Amino acid sequence: MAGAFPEYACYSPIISRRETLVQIASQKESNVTVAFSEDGRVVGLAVLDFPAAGERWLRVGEKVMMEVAAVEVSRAYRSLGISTCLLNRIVDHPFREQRIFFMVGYSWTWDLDGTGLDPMAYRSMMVRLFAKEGFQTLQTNEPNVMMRPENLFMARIGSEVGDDRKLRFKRVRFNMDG
Amino acid sequence: MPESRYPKEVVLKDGREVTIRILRETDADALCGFYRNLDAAVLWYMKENPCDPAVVAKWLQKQKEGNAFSIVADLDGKIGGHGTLLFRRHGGRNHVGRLRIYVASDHRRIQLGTWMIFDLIKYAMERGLEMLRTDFVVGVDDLAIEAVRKLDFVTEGLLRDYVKDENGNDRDYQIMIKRLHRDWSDF
Repeated sequence: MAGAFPEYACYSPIISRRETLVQIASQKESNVTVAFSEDGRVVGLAVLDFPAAGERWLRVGEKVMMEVAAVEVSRAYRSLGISTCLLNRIVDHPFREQRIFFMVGYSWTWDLDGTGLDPMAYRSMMVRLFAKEGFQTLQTNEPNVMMRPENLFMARIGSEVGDDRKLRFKRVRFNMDG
Repeated sequence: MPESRYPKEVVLKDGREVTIRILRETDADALCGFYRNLDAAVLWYMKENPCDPAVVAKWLQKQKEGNAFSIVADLDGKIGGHGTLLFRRHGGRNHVGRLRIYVASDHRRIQLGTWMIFDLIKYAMERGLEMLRTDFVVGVDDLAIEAVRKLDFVTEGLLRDYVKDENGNDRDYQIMIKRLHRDWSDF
């Protein structure tokens, strides 16, 4: 992975260490998808994992929520449809219809410098990307999401998720499940 | 299109659920009813009387023509809040949106107005606006002034004794602006 996701002045990749990916991939039910160039270099990656300890999403229920924690493509390989493929593979999970997959988009983690997009254009790009896999934009009062208007929360609710879980998910989004 | 993202579900501070959706032509009567139930003191400072169906019809027409974007907070079929973003489509102020929010008195202090403002800020940014302006009467709209200040609106102008209350007393008029960042330099 060395050199695939270097740090730039205004942008640092979410995951840049091989050990981190291996550690996530070794967990039962997590998904890690990697894109390689023809010469074997890592040029893209995506991660689907359970929320970290302490996050509100755990309150929806045991193993209900899974986060698309990263979708990264190396700058030289962008606009080739790699992120669409990565996302498609990462959500191809055996329990996808029983789970709620979500993503949070914080503009301070976006490579605006490399894409030349302003935050709202980047946001729209993310919405289009995730909408292809059935994710919808939802409201939440999660403080980091609320911090900037362009920040984003999207989720894909599996077709077999029950109404009680959906209701709990809604209330957890607003911290009203207590 | 941003419009395709409506309706939006929100759970308020008191646990009540509300749907934020785009104002529809069929809302005309309900919107008039919403304004009729607002305090007379609030209506006094509005530029037009929205209890008059002709005024609401004009607003709906503005929305149809693309000169305004209105959302309502729908609580079990009843309008509990109304927010509008007004645009100028040409000229030196076409980068500025005018923001107006009204919330029913029994739905205040539960963040309904904040959610509606937040939603219209996002919409304004998606429309490519660079600035939002909203005006308040000092001493009447103090709760709203505090709410928008928390969303980074700053006071850009204060017109002393600019408006009069129902009893003829002078009141200050405050102009607040929020700059909408478009690139990193504003972060």
